[in-house]
Amino acid sequence: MKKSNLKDIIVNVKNLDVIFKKKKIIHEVSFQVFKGEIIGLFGISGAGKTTIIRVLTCQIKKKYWKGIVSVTNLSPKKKGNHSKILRNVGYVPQLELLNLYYDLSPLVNVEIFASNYGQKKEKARKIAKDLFTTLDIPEDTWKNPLEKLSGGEKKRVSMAIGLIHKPKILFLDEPTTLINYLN
Amino acid sequence: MLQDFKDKSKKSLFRTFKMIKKEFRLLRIDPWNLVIALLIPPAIIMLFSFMTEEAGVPPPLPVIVVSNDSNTFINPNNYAESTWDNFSIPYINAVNKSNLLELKVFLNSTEDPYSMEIARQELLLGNINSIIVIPVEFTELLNLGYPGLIECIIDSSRISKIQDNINAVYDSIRIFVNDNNLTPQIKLKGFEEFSVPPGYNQALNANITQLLPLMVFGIANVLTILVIVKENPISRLLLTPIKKSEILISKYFTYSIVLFIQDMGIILATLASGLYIRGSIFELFGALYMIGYSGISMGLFISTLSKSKTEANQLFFASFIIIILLSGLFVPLGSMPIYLNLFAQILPLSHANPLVDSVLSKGTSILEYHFYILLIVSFILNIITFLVFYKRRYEV
Amino acid sequence: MFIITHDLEAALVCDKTAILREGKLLEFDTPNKLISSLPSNGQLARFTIENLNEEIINKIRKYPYCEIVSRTGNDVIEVFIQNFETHFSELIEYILNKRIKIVSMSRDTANFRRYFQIRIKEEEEKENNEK
Repeated sequence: MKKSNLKDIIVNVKNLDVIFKKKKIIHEVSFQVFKGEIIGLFGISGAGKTTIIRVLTCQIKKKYWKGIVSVTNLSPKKKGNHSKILRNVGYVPQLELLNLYYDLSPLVNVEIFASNYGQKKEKARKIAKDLFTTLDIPEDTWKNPLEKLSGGEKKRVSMAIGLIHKPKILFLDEPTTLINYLN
Repeated sequence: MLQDFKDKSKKSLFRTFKMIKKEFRLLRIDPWNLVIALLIPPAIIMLFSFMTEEAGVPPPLPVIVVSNDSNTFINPNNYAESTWDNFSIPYINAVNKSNLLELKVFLNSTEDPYSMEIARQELLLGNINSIIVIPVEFTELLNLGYPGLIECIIDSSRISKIQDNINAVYDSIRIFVNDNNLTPQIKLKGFEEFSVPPGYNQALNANITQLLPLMVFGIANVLTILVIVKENPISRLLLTPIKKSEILISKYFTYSIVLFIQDMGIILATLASGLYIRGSIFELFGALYMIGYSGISMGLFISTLSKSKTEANQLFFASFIIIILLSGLFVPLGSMPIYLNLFAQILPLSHANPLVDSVLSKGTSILEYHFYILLIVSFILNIITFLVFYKRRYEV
Repeated sequence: MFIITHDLEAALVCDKTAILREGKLLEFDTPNKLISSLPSNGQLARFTIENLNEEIINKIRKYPYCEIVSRTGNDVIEVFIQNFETHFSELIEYILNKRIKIVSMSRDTANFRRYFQIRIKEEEEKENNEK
């Protein structure tokens, strides 16, 4: 285990409460995450795993939660911070359907998302190709409509999109065949 | 500070531009949708022009003329001279001459006191479209220089046919007036002024005024109703630095361009098919563009409001039926109850029809009441769409 | 990197694991530390027992140094005891004396899955007691 000092805190959550319609979904959650750590969030469904991640990725309006939260030293409480936080954050959602344009090719998909981080086409293509190679997505599928790819390949394209802007933090939501990637 | 602002807007422009590019990519995936939007309108116009040219003038409408004018005309200066009804017969001739009317029977109420009853019975049975009644002392009035008012009882069971009937009767009066040099005595309103000059496709003009707004509005509407509901990755896009406004603006922009191309196609088709445009082509383009934009506004509004594709389709269908029914195409706005009339006033298609009509047959400027109402209605729809889109929670 | 998952094997690659239940963060630490918070640092005895039933499990629970007995299969139980090294052989004797037939047995260290299950169960029981 690496030695961590306070400067390396990348996510700080203190006394987080999330309340929807008078129902407390998250009770007093506190934790700190240091640079380079891999954090596993475990719990049976409804435990609030996704809710915590949604707070961290600015998806829940500030009126629904209280407590101190900082992501890369920025608080999602301030609306002005959202685009800065999102620039530092990569997300791989549970469902590819909500993530990818099924009718477009993997390369174009990456290009669309990369453009939101200000990346030009050539740069996006280059990064996409590198990521696709690393993630072992067969080259002959790069220009096919995404629909034709297998489930695992789609997941990996989704991963590539999460990594396209070299985020400081990556969120993986239910990566079912996770071990395969990490090995 | 200023540099920061410049930098930010540059980035925002870049992202919006890329989003527009994405929209076009998504459009290309479904080429049929585009084909329908771009090629169908010109195709329908061409089809109409062929159809109507083949058929020529619409079939003449059967009528019965009843004359009440049986009195002897007595010259006040010369009591010895008397003439019988010397204007009833010329009018009958005019009816026979008109291509729009077909004289079934001429009935003289002096000979047959039940003439009117017979004619009404025929009208009731649907054997004729209208009864033209020549009034008592018709000849006398004309000779003395008074307008002789010809009465016309038309079959009003089909509201859409009323205008055709009136047009046909006017046509006979026009011929009568011309043949007898009686222009000052009988006033003709409406018909002469807005008639289509010879050499143009008259029937096409008559139909297209109703068809164009419906088509442009409807197609723009259909093109956009699924654009937002169908795009699943919006929720994921929002986890990048993109703003909701950029996503929405790129959609309006993209479909406005599609609309531009579509309207160009329509203009070309109308020119090729011999449509008479009293106003300028640019005015027609402007009118069509405004109508189309209101269609896009409505479509994107539906798309933002609905939670699923089915919902969007149903919302579209429901709203489209209401918009058509209350557009004045079937029932004139004036004959609606006041509350329906008021409601109809905020529906886009109610203003689209008069707008196209003003360019095609009146030649008046499009920048009048109906244009501004359409603009305001679209604008309000845009604002609501943005608000709904902003309020909407998109979660991955 | 954050991994949200049902897949408890994923703990193998995690530096730290957070265990959540009904909106409460129960634990947040390295998997090894969590496992070693179990009795005897997570050491356990695993028995396969013929005709295993609740009665037999309750008998084993009565062993004085027994901490946790969890049924992990149709006829498999895992037993956590205090001071594993000293009491392991005693436990085996205790079971044999009760005329319980052991088919096979082994010793092991608990994995994260077991820890998770035990921890969640503990929380549930705590909640039930409060009620």
